[in-house]
Amino acid sequence: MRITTLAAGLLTVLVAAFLVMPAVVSMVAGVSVSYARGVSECLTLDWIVEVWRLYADTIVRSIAIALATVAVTLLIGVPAAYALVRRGGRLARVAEEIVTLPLAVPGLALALALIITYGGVRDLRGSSAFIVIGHVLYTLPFMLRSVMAVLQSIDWRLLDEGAASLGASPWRRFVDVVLPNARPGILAGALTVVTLSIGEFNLTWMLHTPLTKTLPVGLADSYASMRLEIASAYTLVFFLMIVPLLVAMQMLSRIGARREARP
Amino acid sequence: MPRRFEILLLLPAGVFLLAFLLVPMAVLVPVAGSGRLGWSAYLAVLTEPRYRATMVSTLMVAAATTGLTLMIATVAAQFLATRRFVGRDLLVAMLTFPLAFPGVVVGFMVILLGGRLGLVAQASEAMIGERIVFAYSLTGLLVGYLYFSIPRVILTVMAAVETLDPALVEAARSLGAGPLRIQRDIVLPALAPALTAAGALCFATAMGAFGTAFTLATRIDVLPMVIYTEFTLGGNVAVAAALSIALGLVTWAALALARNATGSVAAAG
Amino acid sequence: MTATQGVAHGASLSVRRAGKTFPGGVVALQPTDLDLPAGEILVLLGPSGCGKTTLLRLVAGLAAPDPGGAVLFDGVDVTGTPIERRRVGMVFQSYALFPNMTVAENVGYGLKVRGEPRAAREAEVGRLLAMVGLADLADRPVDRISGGQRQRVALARAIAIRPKVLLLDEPLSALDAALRERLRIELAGLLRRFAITAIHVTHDQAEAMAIGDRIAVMRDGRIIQLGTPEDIYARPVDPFVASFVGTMNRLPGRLVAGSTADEVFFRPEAVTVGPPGAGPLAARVVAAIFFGAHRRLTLDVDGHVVEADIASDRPVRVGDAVSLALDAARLHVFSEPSGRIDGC
Repeated sequence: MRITTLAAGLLTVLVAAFLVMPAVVSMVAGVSVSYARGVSECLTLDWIVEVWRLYADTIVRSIAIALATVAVTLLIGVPAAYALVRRGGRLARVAEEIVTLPLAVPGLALALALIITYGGVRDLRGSSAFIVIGHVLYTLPFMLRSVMAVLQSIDWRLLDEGAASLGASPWRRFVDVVLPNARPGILAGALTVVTLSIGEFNLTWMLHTPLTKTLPVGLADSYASMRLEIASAYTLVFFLMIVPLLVAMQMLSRIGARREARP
Repeated sequence: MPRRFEILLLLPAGVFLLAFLLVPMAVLVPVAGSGRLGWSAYLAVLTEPRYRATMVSTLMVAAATTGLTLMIATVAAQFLATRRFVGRDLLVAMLTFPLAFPGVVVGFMVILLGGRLGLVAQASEAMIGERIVFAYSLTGLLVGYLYFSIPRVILTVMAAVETLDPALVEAARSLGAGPLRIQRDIVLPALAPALTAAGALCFATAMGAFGTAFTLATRIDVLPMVIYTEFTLGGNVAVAAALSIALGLVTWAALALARNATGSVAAAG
Repeated sequence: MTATQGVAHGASLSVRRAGKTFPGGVVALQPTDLDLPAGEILVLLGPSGCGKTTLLRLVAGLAAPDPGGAVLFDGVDVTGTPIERRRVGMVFQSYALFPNMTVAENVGYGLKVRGEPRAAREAEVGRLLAMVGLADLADRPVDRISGGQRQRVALARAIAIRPKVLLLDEPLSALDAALRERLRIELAGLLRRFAITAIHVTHDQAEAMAIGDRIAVMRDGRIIQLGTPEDIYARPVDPFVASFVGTMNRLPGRLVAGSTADEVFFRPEAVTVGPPGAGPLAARVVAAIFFGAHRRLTLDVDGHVVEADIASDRPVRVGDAVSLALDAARLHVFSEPSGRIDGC
């Protein structure tokens, strides 16, 4: 093997180790009696139980917020994606630019703008709905792109015109023909939205109140104030929630790639 | 008729974005001018030494993150994309697994790596008898941003490498070009659009990221941290708003420049 | 008149027991021997998957032969020499022109890598571009020229480094049929002018006939016949070669009583078409296609299809009953079972 190839391989392996090692340490620490004394000591689930006692509410709230976020992005994002693909042209590009703005503007700035504008509305400021609004802003571009990409790849116009020739109204065509065929994109978008929402911190830290802590907010709290084993166990819980979502996304994109590879 | 249908489809998203994106951002503009400094708050980023220093260090961390990430990802992506070997899938999985980690978790990973009880501290104590600790500084932040950026950029660059005609490299080799020369003359020019897009996104993310710095230490002076402390601890809403707008403009400009350079929408991270 | 004209260039090439087994055990190329004198153009002809590209890549140094195999240029073993130092010119199916360089920069790249001074480089590039008829396009980006022009740029780029062996991997297959036919003749002319040792890979038998001094017909990872185009056409060694090169008819029957083969093979030109009763075989015309000077007839002989050519002014129509006579000197029989005729 050539020396350059060898060096590239070595670098790749080192980088992989750099990414994985701390995560492994954290997982092990989360189930070890004492991090300082090392893994050789016996393992325990006490820290996980402790995490559940301390932070169960944040875990449940994060799941609820993620589900609410995905519901809203589906409701407003899927029709919008279809409209933008149908419309095309300059107007659609401007609209897309606006929708994707939250990707370009840091979450902190967005959150600040939301607080300054709506912070005075007590019932909203104090509720989890405020966080859902932030999460929808941040995740909507991902839903839109995923759905628009699949609509563009399935030749929606042919399907739509086919259904129109059979006498279906635009709404029926949307519900009966376009939506079922866009399902892979909608599903991929929904998985992305759930994953992002569960992990979102930049906006959430500003938008939350002591009564509306989410999982990442709780994580930040535990990193600052709890012993390492509890912080690690809490992180482990987060991994356990996020990894199945990542695996599902991977599988979905593989299926999609295979479908595209077919002529 | 079809037009009305499209407007109806677009309406819910339109109302939502108007109420929670466009109006709040418009509100931010006058708020920034309402403080002690008045409208000159906008210039504070440039005129006040403290904010200026923060802006400079933020830009430098983001630039260093982008440069290092692009270098590492270009090497690793080529190694992975053009070869099939035992363990390749595992390696790819390891490299992309932190993709969905939020900034706070990345910060915790840096603490486990470079903190007082971290892996590096333990290893260095065993080897040289001294604990090397880097987590709670700009170095730690840089490591954290690398941790965060590498998986995203590797995926983008790998996709670009896979579309590269392998015959291009073979042709250059047949003409006598060595590996480094091929990188410079053939591969990097071909990957330039993907690298620009991925680099801009990486830069923008590193500029605006907050969770990692927040976890590592409150005394790391980067723009998002300053905005946060001005707003919550100093109660200085106007300066926080002005700095937010400055930050937003920088990140938006980075992405817009990249998009103009590559002619396509930057890949979503 | 340039220095390259008329004189044989490049090295003599020898391949010794070179085979290639891919990880997973797939044998792409059986151990193969091959000798090319300096200046000869050899065509590797065969269907996809027959090992012709693998053999080319072994010679190029893009792949290493299995242990025991060797590649020699002018008698010097280059098996361990990487492609960068082997001095082979390559023309790829996709041309692999560097999109970030102009036509001239592409052609001059190999010289630049070798540190040739700019003036000498530019002179050589100019000379080569003039030779392939692209002098006017020197400063064009390569994505602003036609497919045929790209192919010539790729050829000039490969020639520029004065390679010991020129290797062409299906260089015409990316072009449409009409262009391919024209460029086939042009390429043959250019290769003869460069007079360089060359291996040309193709699956197109007409291309092979036009370009090769010799043709190696390949199948299932081995060379099954090596010879001049005339040899291959007139004396194919088996039904596969016979049907892969040109049109070959076959009919059940025996040439001599007692021979093992029970099929005879013959080219359309071995058939004489006459009025009913004039020849020994009765046939009916199924189709007649006009080719200008001649007409290609598809004939039904007792349920078997036979193709034959007649002068196009002869009044033969579809449905006509005719008779066929075969030229005994041009009949072939093969002892190999003919069931394998259908491909690789």
